[in-house]
Amino acid sequence: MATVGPLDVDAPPPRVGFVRRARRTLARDPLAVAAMAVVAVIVVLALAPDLFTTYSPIRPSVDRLEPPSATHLMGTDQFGRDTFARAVAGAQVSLAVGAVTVVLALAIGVPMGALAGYNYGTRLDDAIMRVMDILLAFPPIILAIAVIAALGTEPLDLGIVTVPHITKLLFVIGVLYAPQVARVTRSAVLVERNEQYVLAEQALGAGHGRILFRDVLRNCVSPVSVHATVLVANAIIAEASLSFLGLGIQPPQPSWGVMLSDAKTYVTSGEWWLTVFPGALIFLTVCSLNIMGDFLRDVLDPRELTRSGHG
Amino acid sequence: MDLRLYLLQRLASLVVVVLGASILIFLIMRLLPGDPVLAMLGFDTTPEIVAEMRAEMGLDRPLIVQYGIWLRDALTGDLGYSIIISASVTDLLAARFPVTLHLAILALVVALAVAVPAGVLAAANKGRALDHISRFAGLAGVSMPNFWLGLLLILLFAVTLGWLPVGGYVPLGDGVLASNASLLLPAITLGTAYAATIMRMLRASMLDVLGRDYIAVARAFGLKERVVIWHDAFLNALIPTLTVAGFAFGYMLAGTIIVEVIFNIPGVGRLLYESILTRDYPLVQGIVLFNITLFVVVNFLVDVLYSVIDPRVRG
Repeated sequence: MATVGPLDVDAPPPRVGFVRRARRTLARDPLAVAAMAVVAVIVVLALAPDLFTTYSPIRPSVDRLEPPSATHLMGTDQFGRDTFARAVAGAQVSLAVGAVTVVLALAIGVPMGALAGYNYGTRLDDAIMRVMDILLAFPPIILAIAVIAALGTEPLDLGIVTVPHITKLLFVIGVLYAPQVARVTRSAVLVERNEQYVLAEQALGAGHGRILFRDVLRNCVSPVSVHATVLVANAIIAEASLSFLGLGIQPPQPSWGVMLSDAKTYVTSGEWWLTVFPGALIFLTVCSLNIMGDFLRDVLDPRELTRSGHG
Repeated sequence: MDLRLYLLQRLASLVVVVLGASILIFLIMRLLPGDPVLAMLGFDTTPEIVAEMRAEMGLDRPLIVQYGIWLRDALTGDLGYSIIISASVTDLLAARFPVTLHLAILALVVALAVAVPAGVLAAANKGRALDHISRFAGLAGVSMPNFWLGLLLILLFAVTLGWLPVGGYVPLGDGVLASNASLLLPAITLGTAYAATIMRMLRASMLDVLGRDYIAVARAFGLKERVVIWHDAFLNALIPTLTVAGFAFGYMLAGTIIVEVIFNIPGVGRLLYESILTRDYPLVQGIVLFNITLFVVVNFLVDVLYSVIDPRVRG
């Protein structure tokens, strides 16, 4: 923020009291507390799997299709692999996919949306938003299926480097969610660009790049972070769906989608644990992230969210 | 804005989006590494045969010319030939689409049957237990991956209780009831997420309407609460809700692949899945273009209907 003495009166008030507001909202919202606990448990499981299981998620054993017991908490699969160990390894994949794709979507979408919003009504805005509109016109999962179907599931040889399939997957999902981020960022920037502090900085001769990327964007964090939380949930479902169809993570590497794809064969023969546990983990994780998105929306400045159309 | 002008504008943007999509699909399929001719012929072939095949398929011509030919053919209903199943893509789509349409319609019926009473009751009981339950159910519905829901439904209703078939499709010609029964579990699987979305929308628009003055007037006149809710509030909250339902229908039509794979239903989604597995590129390309066009056209129709009913959206 440009420190210009009296003009700072017009700058938006600093976001003090976030922690206090969050604590107060949390006290009234036990669901949000539960959601955060679930996500915390899944993160701990993914970060330190060795603390919770000694079984390998990949190495087969002779204990095939055993129901849940004290030795195998979630039973074993058709190759005798421990379902819990595979579920934990799957958590690593899901969280990594969620985090990396959303960072990618933000890295592409935020600058695009910011440039379009700051240059509202110009050709640049038109050009960016027309491309985004085309991408937004279809369900992302259909595009993802099309792109991965064309790319294939083997590592991609580009001559200089060989791109592993998981990198392709992350890239495709991240790029497909970028237009949504761009749209949210653009509408947030549209609100900010007419604020007094922007006009003041312009009058003082601050460069557009400095105004946009240092000050305007800082005030757009709320709507973008609410949307990012929901995107993590959507990206996890997208990866699981692609893996379920055989286009995502490739066996024997575990992922929740891969596990459910394997479970499909055993659903009629009574091995219910193969279906129930991995699915429940996806559901709990995604549900918790959605609840956290709602919660963030409640805590972060509601005025600003309503104005940018995401109230 | 004049209705005709608005429709022309929307039609123009529809054309732009479909053209953009066609370019995107074309580029994805052509520019990516991997030679379609080699994929078709296998690697056990001679350069002469490959060159001949390339010329025959027009792959030796400039990219823009290839795109022009592909687009011209697509516009006349010729989406090319499947490499694996010797049939035209259009014929395959024509054979499979009715099944997908049947599934999507039934899913929409299921979604509305759940969402309408739930949304209205939640709004009528705002802040009470029923509202909280429906809020949570809505959240659960949106977060439920459809492939898991499908497997759970099979586990419960087909395997454990034995009430409904595990999968497969009974054609409408073999009995309307049996046909719909064969699609009931798939329709629930497909419709649940959209039921949640529609319910949330209906609740929000009901609350909006219930806060208006004329509702207070209706109550002041001593109308029964049931009449106020269902006659005055619900009918006015219906328009935005039907719009959301219309968009949901587009999503369902284009997004049946997972449900059709789980329940082994011979529709467009399963055809796409099989064509991906067999690397039948012309078929994949044709189905994706068909799905996207369908989705965009359904959205367009919903927009048009909405603008006819409610002139305010024309801006």
